[in-house]
Amino acid sequence: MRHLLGLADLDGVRLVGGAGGLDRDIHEVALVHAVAEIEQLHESTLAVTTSKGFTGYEIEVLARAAHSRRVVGLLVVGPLRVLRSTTRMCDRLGLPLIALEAGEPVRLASHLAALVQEPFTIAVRRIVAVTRGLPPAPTTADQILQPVSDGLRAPVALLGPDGTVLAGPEDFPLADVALPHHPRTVDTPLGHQVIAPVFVDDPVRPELWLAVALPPSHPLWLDGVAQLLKIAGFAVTALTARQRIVGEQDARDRSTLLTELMDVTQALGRHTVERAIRVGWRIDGWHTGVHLRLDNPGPPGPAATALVGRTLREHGLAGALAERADGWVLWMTSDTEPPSTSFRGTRRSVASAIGSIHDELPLVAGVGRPYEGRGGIARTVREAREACLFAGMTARNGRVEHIDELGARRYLARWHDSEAFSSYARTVLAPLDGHDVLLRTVQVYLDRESSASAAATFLGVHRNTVNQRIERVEQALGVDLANSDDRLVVQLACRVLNGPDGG
Amino acid sequence: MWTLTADDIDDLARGAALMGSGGGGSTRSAASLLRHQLDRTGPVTVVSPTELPADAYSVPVGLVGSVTVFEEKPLHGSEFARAVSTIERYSGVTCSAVLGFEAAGVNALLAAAAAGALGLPLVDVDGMGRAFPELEQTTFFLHGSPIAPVVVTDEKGAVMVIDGVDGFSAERLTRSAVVTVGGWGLIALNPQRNDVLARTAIRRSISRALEVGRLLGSGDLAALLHAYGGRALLPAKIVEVERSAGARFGRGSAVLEDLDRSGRLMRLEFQNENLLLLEEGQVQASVPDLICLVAREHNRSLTTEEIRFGLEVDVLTLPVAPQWRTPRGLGLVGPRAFGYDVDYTVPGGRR
Repeated sequence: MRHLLGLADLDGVRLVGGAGGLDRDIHEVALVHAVAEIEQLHESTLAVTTSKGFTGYEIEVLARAAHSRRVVGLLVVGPLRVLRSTTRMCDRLGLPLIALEAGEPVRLASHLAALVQEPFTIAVRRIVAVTRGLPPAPTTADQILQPVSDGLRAPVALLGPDGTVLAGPEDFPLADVALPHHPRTVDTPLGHQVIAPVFVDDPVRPELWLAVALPPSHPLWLDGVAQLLKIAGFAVTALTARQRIVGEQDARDRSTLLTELMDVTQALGRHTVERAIRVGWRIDGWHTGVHLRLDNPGPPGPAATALVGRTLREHGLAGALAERADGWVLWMTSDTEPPSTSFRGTRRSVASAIGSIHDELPLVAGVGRPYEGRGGIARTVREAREACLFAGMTARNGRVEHIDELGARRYLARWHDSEAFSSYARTVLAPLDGHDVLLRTVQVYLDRESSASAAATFLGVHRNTVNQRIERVEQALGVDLANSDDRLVVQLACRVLNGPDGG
Repeated sequence: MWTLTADDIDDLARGAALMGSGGGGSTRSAASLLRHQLDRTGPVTVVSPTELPADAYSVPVGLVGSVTVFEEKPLHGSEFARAVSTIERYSGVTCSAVLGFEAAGVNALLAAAAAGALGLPLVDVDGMGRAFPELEQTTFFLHGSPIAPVVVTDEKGAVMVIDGVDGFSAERLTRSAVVTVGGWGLIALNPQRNDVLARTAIRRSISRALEVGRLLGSGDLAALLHAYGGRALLPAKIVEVERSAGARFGRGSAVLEDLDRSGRLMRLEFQNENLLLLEEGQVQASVPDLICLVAREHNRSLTTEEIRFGLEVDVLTLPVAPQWRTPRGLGLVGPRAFGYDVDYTVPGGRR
């Protein structure tokens, strides 16, 4: 109220009483002439009336009604003789009574109302201007941030979960607060920061935040900015979701394309060739395949694919990348046949690439030999996959296996792949379900050429213990491990279920 | 039936002034006029309307206009006789008793003087129960009994008969006539049947004025309020007075401050009578109830002309006759009839 009187610049304005109430907020201005009209008013309204036709007691009656409605003040336009009773009453009730000798009540009320609404009006106008500048289908976050920043005349940034600036000025002065789950305004030495969360996939946990650094501002304006960030946040959500969909579609496309390329029984259609070209894959040339397998179960997500592609490129491994059910396939193409020693270099690069992101994304990889042409893609990728099956299983061979180094194990890879054999293996070993010790013992025993002593040494038990266990296994499975066929089946079954070294 | 003697005059004057609710005019010269009358013609018999023949008529009389002018330009003495004989001749009715149409202020005393001058009994009733400014604000008009013909006389011998108009017009014409003849006139209204008076007029008006005057004179405000159901609002000092010029009757406002130093302030609005009492914008007492400022020093009710800064008063309110509190009654004499946009209330919810 005090501010309003200062702003309104009214000639001949006189505070009659109730100075104690001058610091209350005003939200509305209303013109009244009778007590009945005051009873319609909202709290925090300034009531304007004319003294025309008034004796004087009317002001006291109006003031009393105004006070009951928690009206912020009473402005009386026109000549007014004020008695002590009026002044004392307004002082006691803390109701500012202002007399303005001359004026036109309607115009005055309108002018004051405009002043009272001003912060709100300005806020709305600027917000509308900003939303007008937002593109309907932005393709980058900057296309969203720029109109917001221009309209607010303040820096705006898009932040990731750890506060890193993903879009907007890199030197954005982020306030030292936890990123909130609801729009929040923080006071800073230079003014305020308004931070609003952006929800993309999870409706409960935000993944991104929009932040604005503002100079000292009116609370109504800060609230308006928070609402604006909410709107911009919707645009960011839409953009991110669209990018993810596109990314997923791309990944699916590449995955199916790879499958088509590898299916050598079908002739290579022109359509497939075009798609490959569009995606930037080469079909002619010498291809070296790499298969990367995720240690965690489940198909990889688009964020992981982006990371893998970026990392491989950084380590000099550029080529066609496609998602598979358990990871990725990469093949690199060169015009001429790579020298036979090149596999070591490739293996080293792949190992260092996976090593660099191991904490985020634990991977193992297999590398195939180089082959030429379309058929070559299929062969090298298959070899890479087989090699990959053995990768990461023992400490000895590290996380990357090259097909050339697999040796005979390469042939076993086929068995490991087979679903039929897996289920057969499970059936064979079913009687030992729950008897892990026995399983382990028999595998170790068979791997050491049926030597009880060697097995005992490895397992750290007595020879006799090993023999006892083997007897029990033979009984349980109904086999004779002296028989070479039985032996082979059990050994392979163990391998399939438990891996090369007994799990 | 009882007799009003010269010894009762002071009490009657005091009581009549209180019943004036700030109006009714200064009773000083009317009191001495009555004294002279009673000295000449002896005590006045005061009767209740039921003691009179039901089909006989009584004539309401009184002064209309400026009491201030009346004090300086007093009665000649023949006005009562001229007024009553004119109305008898005009209406064809013989009046066997008189009453004051307003048994408050000067008109209570003048009614008694008229009874003395005409040798007729004074009926113990009136048409207002307090002072009101206008003729339609009478029980006659309230109950549908015509107040015209009105006969107006002055001290120089003029006689005017106003007839053929309703109560509101009768009031306006009477007012203009009175202004034209110099400021005041003695009037007689249409004679009323005694049985109608018994039924519709305000009863015991003179008796009450006398009793009130006696209690007031003895300083026993508590007994007065107890007897008449009134309230004392607060002992106050008049700390501010504002009178507005140009209004029809002397309008004004006064601020009363609690003598007990509680800081309470009350605001009085008056227009010839005390009409509205407010505290912090809320109505504490309102017309038609009586609002009286009793000067503490003299145990005397102040007229509105006497309100001035510095006087110490007891602020009282007395209930008006119940028939004024009806919707039709309030239409004639409620706050809105006097231009105050508030509802008639009795604080505490008593109506």
